[in-house]
Parts: sequence; structure tokens; C-alpha cells
Amino acid sequence: MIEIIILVALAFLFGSILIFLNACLNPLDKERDEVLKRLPGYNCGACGFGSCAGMVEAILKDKEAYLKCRPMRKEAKEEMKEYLENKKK
Amino acid sequence: MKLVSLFLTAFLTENIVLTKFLGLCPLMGNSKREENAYKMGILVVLTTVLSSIISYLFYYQILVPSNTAHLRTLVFIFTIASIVGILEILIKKYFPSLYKSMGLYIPLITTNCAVLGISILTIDNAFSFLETVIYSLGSSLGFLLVIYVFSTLRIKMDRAPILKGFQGIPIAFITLGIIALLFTRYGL
Repeated sequence: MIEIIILVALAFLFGSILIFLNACLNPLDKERDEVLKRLPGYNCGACGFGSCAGMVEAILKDKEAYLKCRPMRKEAKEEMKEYLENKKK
Repeated sequence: MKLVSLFLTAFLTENIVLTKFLGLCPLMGNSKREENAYKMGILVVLTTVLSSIISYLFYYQILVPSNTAHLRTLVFIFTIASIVGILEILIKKYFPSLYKSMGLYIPLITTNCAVLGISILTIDNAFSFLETVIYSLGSSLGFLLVIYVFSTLRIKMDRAPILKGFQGIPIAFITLGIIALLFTRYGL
């Protein structure tokens, strides 16, 4: 029983430290994930940024960059536009 | 004086890589280029010193009083993984160029057996707190020395005329074996 308590307490301690540090130091990470989720994820490189991760960096700098994505469908583009516009406010 | 001799023992005569053969995976995988080798070595030094200090405190403050010393491997791996995670977040924030060049290799420090090995050896040898700090610092600096020297050797090896079957990893292992033989003699 005491083993379980010790391990759970340690997991809770380390987990909360990691979450807290990540939220404080890298606040853009969450946004990156959100943008990446809305990309097709083929990593084709047709946009010229190399991969979808490169595209995310470009979108964070320039909101129009997602228009260069070729395999992205129209509905997905609209969804992305909506997301980025809501982000501005 | 005892601490100095402990440091030198851990650093040279009982080198973690050459006499105990721990941490061979990062040594082989990350010694192709000089700059990556010493970056990896410095990260291992940081992780090892921090994790062995925290493991020591956990072992003697939590595990021994509550009579659960058999959990030590689990708890130590847990500590190491969390420290590597914390280091990764800090590096991402403050040294983005280092993060880009090391990228995937940072989480792999967790699986470096030298880090866990040093934490367990400090407990097995019943070191005091100060001795733990000195021993982990010496051992991990020994790893840094070997990985740096070895990376410079591998650059030479790439240019040398070596039989086709021995090129790359095989000749690297043979060379490491020869260096290890020298060090075994040293320790006697």
C-alpha cells in the first residue's frame, strides 16, 4: 500500500512541475499544437517550408501563410481562417 | 584529500565507460561529429549530477524510512526521466539553437544507462552526500572526456583505409576495446 502512495505522490509532484514549467516557459506550444491539428499532416513540403512543423512556424509569423498549403481542402482552409481570426481577438 | 582521490578514481581509473561499459549507446550513436559529442557530454553531466543528488535524497529521506528500498530502480528512472523533461523545457526556452541541433537526442538521455548506473552505484557504495556529488561529477566528466576523445578518433577513422567489413561501428568497437584494455591495466 505504501509503495502505491509513494509512487503516486512522486508522479503527481514531477508531473505538476513539468506542466507548470512548460506552461510558464513555452506558452506557444499549445498554439503550435492547435495549428498543427488543423493542417493535413502529409509533410509533403509543397508549401516550401519543408514540413507541417515548418508551416506552423510560418503561420505563427504570418497569418496568411496557410494559403500556400496545397493538399488542404477548402473546408479545412475556412476552419483555419476562422481559428486564426478568433485568435487575433 | 579523500574526495580528490574519489574524483580522480571516478574520472579516470574507474571510468564509467571504459571499465564498467555503461553508456555505450550514446557513445556509439552520438560520436560521429565533434560538436554533437561534446554537447551530448555536457547534457549528460548536468543530468547525472542533478539526478544522482535527487535520487540520493529520495532514497535516504523517503524510501529507507518507509521501508520500501526495493522500489529504488523505479523511483530513480522516474527521477531521471523528469529531470530530462525539465532540462528539455529549459533548453527549448533558453538555447533554441542547441534544441534544434540536438532535438531528438535530448529525450534519449533518459535511456542512457550511465545515468541510472551512477545513481545506483552511489547507493551501493554507501556514499555520503558530498561523496555522491563528487562521484557523479567525476564519472560523468569521465563520460564527457571519453565521448569527446572518441569523436575525434572517429573522424580520423573515417578517413583511414579500413577493410570494408570493418568500416563504421565495428572498428569503433574494436578501438574502444583497445582503449578499455589500457584502462583496465591502469586500475590494477
